[in-house]
Amino acid sequence: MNQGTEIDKFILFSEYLTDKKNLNKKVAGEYLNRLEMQMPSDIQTLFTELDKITGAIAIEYWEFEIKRKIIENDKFLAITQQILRLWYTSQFIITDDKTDVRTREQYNEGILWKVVHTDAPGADKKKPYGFWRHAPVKQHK
Amino acid sequence: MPTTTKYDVIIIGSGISGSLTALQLAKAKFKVLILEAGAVKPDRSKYLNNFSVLSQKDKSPNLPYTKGADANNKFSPSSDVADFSLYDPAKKQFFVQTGPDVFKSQYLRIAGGTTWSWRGNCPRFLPSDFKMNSVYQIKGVEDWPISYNDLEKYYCDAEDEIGISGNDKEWDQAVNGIKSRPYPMKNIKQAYGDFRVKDIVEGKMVEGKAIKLISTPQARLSEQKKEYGSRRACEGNHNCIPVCPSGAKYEAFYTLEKALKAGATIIDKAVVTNLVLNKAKKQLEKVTYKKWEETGDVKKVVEETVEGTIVVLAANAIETAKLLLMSGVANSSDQVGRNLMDHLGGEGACLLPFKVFPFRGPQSTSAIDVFRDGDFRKEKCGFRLTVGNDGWGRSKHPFDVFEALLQNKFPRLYGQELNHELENLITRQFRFSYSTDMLPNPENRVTLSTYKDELGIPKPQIKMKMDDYSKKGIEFAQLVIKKLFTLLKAPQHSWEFTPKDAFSGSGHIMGTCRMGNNPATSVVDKECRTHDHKNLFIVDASVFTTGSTANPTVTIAAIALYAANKIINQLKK
Repeated sequence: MNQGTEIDKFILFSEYLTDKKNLNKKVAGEYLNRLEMQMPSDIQTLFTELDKITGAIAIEYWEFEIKRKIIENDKFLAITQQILRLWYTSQFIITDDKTDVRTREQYNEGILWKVVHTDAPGADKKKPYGFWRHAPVKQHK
Repeated sequence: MPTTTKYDVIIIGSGISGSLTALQLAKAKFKVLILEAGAVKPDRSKYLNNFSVLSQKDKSPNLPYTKGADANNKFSPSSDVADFSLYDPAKKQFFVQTGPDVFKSQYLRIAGGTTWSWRGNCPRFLPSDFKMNSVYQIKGVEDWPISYNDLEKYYCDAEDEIGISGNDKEWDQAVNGIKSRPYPMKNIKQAYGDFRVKDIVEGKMVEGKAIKLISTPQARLSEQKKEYGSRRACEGNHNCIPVCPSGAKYEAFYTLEKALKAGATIIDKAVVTNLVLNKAKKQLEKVTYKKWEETGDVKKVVEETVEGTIVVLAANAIETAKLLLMSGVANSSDQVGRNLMDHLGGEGACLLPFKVFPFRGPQSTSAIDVFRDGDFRKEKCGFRLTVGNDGWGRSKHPFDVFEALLQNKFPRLYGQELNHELENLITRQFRFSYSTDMLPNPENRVTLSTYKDELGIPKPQIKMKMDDYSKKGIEFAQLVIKKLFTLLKAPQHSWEFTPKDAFSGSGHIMGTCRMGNNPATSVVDKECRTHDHKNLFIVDASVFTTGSTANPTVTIAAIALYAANKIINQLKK
C-alpha cells in the first residue's frame, strides 16, 4: 500500500466523518503521519477495514457500510474520535489532559470555525473592516 | 567595574506609561534613557505562530510571547495564568501568593509591555471615580488629590496618541458631558449580535436603571490614517487577546518607536535592582541594573549603573512596588505595596433563542455602563457589563462544546448532524461579563518574598482578600444579568454563571503607591512625584488612589502624559 493511496483513503474516510469535501491534502498528509506515528495499529486496522468495504461493496453503499462497520464499531472509537478532533480543532490528545497542535496551517484549517461561519481566531484572513456588523448568511438571520 | 552615564531622565519600563513619558520628554529635547527588563525586538508573525501551535488550554494572554522560538526570557520572566494559585515551591510560580484569595492578573515584561496582550478597551474614569470618599462616604477610602477635570486634556491627548475609535455622543453622556475633544476616529462597528441584543434590552428598566447598550471606545483603528503609520483598520480577526494579527490594535511599542526616533535611548534586557540615594537620603543618585544575555546555553549577567537627574518608575503596579521595597526608598509612609487592586470579574453565559454569530470581529465591541455609578456604590461596588462577542468567553470554549459532543453523542452524531449541532449551539452562545470596582485595602499588598528569581531578585509576594463590598457588587451584577437574560428569553437551563464567591482577574493591576496630599498616607503627590524624593516620579497604575470600574489603560496613559508635563516643568527650573 503506497503513501498516496493511504492519503486518499484517509481523506475519503475523513470526508464521511466531517461531511466536508476538498479537505486540505497537505494537512491530511500531516495528520496521517501523526496517526501512523502515534496510533499505528489503529490506523492500519482502519485502512484494512476500509479496503474490505471499498473492495467488495458498490460505491453507492460505502457510506452506510463505513458507518456500520467502522464508525459504529467500538474497535475504531479512539481512532475515529481522534480523526474528528484533528479536523475540527487541529488538536491531538496525547493523554487525557495534554493536547498538541503542530502548525499554524493546521490550526487555521479547523473545521469547527467554518461550521460556525467564521475563521480560526488570529487566522489573519485580511477581511474588510466592519464585516462583523452583519450576519454571515441570510438564512441564519 | 560598573560604568556610569548621566541622563536627564531615566525611565524604568517601556510599557504604555514609560513609552508615553519618554516620547514627551524626548520631544522636549531632554536626554532620556529607558531601561527595559525584557527584549526589544518584537516579531508579530512569530508571536502569531506561537499562538497558533499552542493547545487551546495554553492559549493564555502571555504564552505566545514567552513560549516559543524567541523565548529567551529566563531572566525577565512574565506572569501568566499558571501563577494564579497559592505558592508551591515545587511549581516555582512567578508570584508568591499567600492568600487567602488569589490574585489573578498577569503582565508582560517585554518592550511595549502588556499592551501586546491587552484587549484595548478604553473607557474613561467617571468624575465620581476620583471622589469615592466625598461622593459615597466610603470609610477608609480616600479621594484622589486630582479630579477628572485635571486629567481631561490628557485623556484627549492619550486618545489621540493611542488612536482610539469611539462614539463622541455616547461617551460625552457617559462622562457627564465633560469631553472636550472628539475621538480621533468613529467607534469600531459593533457586532451583529450586539444589535440583536440591543433591540430587546435597550431602554428597559432593570434594578432602577434604564439599560443603554453603547459602543466601547477601543484602541484599535476604525480607519487607516497616516498619523498611525503602518497600522491598518481592524480586520476583525477576533484575536485582540493575545495577538492582534493586523496591528490595528495599539501596542505601546508604536509609541516607543516614536520616542526612540525623537532621541530617547533604550537599554533592553536590563532588570533594575536598586535605586540608590545620595548621602543625604533625599535624592535618587543612581540606578543599578543587571544586564543579561542568554544565547543557547551561554548566559551572561553584568551589573551596570546609570545616573539621572530624574528617575521615573513605569514598571507596573507590582514591579514598581517591588523595586521600591528592594531599594528601601519612597516608603516613609509604609504605603508602598499596599492597596493592590484589580477589577474582579466574572460572567453570565447563556444560549440565546436566536443566532448572534460570535467570533467574528473584535472580542467585544459594546458594553452596558449604567451600573458604573449610582447611590448603590455606598454599599456595593459598581461594575461595567461587557457584551461579549466571543461565545461563552471564559466559561466554555467552542472546542469544549465539540469535545463534549464527541464524548457524549458520537457515533450517533457526526458529519452533517454534528455540524448542524455545533452551528446551532455555538452561534447562539452569548455572555455578559462584569468587572467590578475593587476598594483599596492596605492589607491587600505586594511585599518581597524570600524566594528569588534567576537573577537572585526577590519574587513579588502577594496577599489578597476579596471584601464584602466586592461580594455584594458581584451578587448585584449577577442579578442584573439574570434579568437581562430573562428579557432576552434565554432558557434558564442554558445559564452558566461564575460562582458568586469566585472571580477572575482583569489584568488591571493598580494601587501599591497611591497618590495623595498627605505624605503620611500616600506615596506620591498630586504631580506623581514621591513625597520622599523630589527627583523620583511614578507614572504607572501604582499611583491610582482608587480603581473605578473602567479598564485603566487610557487613564494610565492620561496620567503619564500629565506627569510628563510636571517632569518637564521640574527639569526646566
